[in-house]
Amino acid sequence: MSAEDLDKLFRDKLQNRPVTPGNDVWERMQARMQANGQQQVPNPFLAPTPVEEKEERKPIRMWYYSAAAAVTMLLSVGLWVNRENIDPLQPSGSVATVEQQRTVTPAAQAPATEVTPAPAQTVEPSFNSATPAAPAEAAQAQALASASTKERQQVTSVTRKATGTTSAQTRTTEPTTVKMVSEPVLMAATTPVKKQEETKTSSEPASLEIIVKLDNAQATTTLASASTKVDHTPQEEETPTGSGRVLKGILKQVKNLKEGEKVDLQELGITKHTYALETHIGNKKITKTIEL
Amino acid sequence: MNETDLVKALQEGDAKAQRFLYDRYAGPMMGVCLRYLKNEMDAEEVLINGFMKVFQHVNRFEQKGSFEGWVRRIMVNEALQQLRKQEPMHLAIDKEHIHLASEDASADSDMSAEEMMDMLKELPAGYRAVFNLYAIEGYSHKEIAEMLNITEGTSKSQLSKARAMLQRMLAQQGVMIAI
Repeated sequence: MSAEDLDKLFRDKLQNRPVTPGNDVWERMQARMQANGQQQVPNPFLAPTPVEEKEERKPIRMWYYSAAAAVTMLLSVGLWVNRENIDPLQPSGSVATVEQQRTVTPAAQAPATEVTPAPAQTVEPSFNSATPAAPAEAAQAQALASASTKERQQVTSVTRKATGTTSAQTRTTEPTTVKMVSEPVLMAATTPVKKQEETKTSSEPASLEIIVKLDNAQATTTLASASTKVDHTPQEEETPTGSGRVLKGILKQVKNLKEGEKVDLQELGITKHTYALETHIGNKKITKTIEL
Repeated sequence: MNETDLVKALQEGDAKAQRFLYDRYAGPMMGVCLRYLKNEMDAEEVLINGFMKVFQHVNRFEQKGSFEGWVRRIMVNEALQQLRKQEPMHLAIDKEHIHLASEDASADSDMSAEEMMDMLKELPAGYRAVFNLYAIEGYSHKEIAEMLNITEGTSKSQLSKARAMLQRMLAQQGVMIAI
């Protein structure tokens, strides 16, 4: 018997030999087709392509969203962390205006000592202030007043930061607080860390007197003294920098950026700072301007 | 209902046509499935999956060639898939299974289809699959190699071993009948 015969024998007998399947097979198949859902039921008019398109498009859209979110977050965090160091973005031209140097005499402290029972000798006599304008002068005196009450040790520097709009208001309110409350109110700047740095750098040479001027309508007075200790505890801030407000400001600036408008970092409480260092060695006067 | 109308109705998702197709082809296709799978439950499972595939993809059937052949091909593929899932080891070549063909065996026309089915079931799954595909379904070794993911040489050697086993069984049958 050849192989072909064998094949033919089986083919003839078995090729079209029907076997009746179980009675429940049809029902089982119906149940499974329904379980598979309406989509599994053949619908020749429904091409499978739209589904595939949707599946393809979805991850791409998600990718765009997440990228946008990541960029926004990085931008916000970057601005927030570096809000004090972004100053060079807007170079200041007002350094030249800060020229007038005035030494605060004890007379300037007189009103301060009258207001408070604290002794006047706590204020260092060699207090230098650089104020560009007359209003700042008043602020200076007031800052001294508060300083004399608050800081029991030698106060080396009191920095007052006043933006144009708020300065007038604070100037009038603050003396009253000094008067009313026996507990002194410290006029503290919004950026104490920076002030401490200033003091540190300026206090390194023991006998040198270095005047640090900070522009931006801010009257910065720094006293250089060998043994100084600064006690900055901001109790009242002139410009409220609550996190909510800052976040709002950042979002606003991001929106500006998106719409191609000008980004104003000053609105975020980020102000440009230009420091003018001035010192006298012998007869020589050395000035240095630093932009931070 | 002729085949063309049936296919058209199926392509429109007509439930009556589906039932009609099932009634017409369930028996023959169950026979096909049983040739590959010894277990009746497995064969029914393959039958269900095969019919569902037919309903699902009937719009891909172009009116070329026979619709029954198309349905049968789907069933065969489903059966092979099930076989692979179930007993993948049996598809490998079993070198120990070499039996010499008995030349004495003659084609006994009296032998029933049942007896031949029983013989087929005796074969290892791999042998049975190749023999089914080549001898009964009429696929070439090349096609079988692609369907089973084996080489053509493997397909040929499996076929000759399946034939040898069957001839030996036929010879034994003849002896038993003679006694």
